[in-house]
Amino acid sequence: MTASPWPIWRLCDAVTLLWRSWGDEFVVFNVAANQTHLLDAFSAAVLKQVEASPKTLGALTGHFAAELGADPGQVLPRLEEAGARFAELGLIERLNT
Amino acid sequence: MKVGDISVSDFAGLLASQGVTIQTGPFVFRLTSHIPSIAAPVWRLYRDFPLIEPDLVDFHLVLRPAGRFARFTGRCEVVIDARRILSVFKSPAALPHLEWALNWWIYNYAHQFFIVHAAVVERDGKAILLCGPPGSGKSTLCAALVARGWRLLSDEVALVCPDTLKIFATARPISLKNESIEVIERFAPSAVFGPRALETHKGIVAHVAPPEQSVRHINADAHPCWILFPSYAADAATRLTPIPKARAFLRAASDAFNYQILGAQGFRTLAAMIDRCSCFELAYADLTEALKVIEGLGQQAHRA
Repeated sequence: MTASPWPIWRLCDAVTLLWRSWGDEFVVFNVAANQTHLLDAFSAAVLKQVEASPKTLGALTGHFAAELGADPGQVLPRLEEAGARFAELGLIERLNT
Repeated sequence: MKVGDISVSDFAGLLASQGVTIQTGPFVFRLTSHIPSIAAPVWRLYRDFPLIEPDLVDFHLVLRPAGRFARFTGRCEVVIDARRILSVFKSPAALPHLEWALNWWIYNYAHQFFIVHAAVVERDGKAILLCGPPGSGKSTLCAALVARGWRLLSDEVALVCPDTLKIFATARPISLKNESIEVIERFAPSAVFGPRALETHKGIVAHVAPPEQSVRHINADAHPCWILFPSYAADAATRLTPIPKARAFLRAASDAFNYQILGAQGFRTLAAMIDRCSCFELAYADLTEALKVIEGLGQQAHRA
């Protein structure tokens, strides 16, 4: 079996999220860490995708390229930036397969 | 029976012996004082509050001289529930320290409520929360709005029921500091003031007694309708600026005393409050202009 070149993104263990949105801004509460974060619409959509189920970065890139009608090469850096921030905040982990 | 139904001298006698038990909205506290100078101002500021039988109290405060040489040093202390000294101070600052001790207990123990550091006033069941750090002008605006007939809930804490979002009132005296004391004396000449404490760590402090109707209607309904973040600056033009709700959420969360303690319940409660509130920053220097803007909000809601 060939390893996927894409890492898998998934919520960190024990992370449960509560959401609220007003307009195009989102507030998410990480119950386990008792922390609140303000997200823009794109970051919120990414985190919601990962919350729904673990995804490869490739799958996320394809999804958001289609969603935004953008080139995957433009979407990938935005995803990587969002993913790095989520990992730093202890919301997701990025696993190499 | 109300505090004002007994004479000042009887009140002073009770304070110095068995203590008095006063109800301020959802809280009942017993106060004993061995500092005679505090009796008359407490009587005057709390005269409309119920004086009740001391069966069940939430906490007990004792004001007393501090240490063996208190006669010479003038040092006093406030003790809560006979075990913890909350602060030590010179006797002229006794009243502010009493009020701060009452606040301290609420911040630390009243977690049945979502507690926001905010002044709160109400009209027609609709409450305005004036949030912000010390010096932002929330107590000054609160005192001025109360002088204009708004009902006082608190100049210090919004006590929000997580289930119903009803805001509970304590209607305790409004604490004014430094220049704001004279501002309100000029603005509301009929307001009843306590004595000025000149040397506190917050500067000069004086308290304004709550209007009788605010105490009489202490249990009336009030639900959050507006969240304002005032900022006073001597040269500011009066300006009301809407704030995106998600940003208002974060600011109000940082102004809450127990957002972290309540966890998910705090998040849900604040989110529900933000859902129903219009949120603004209010920059101001001129009190009359600021009131016009705030009362304009109330009138718009009344017409709507």
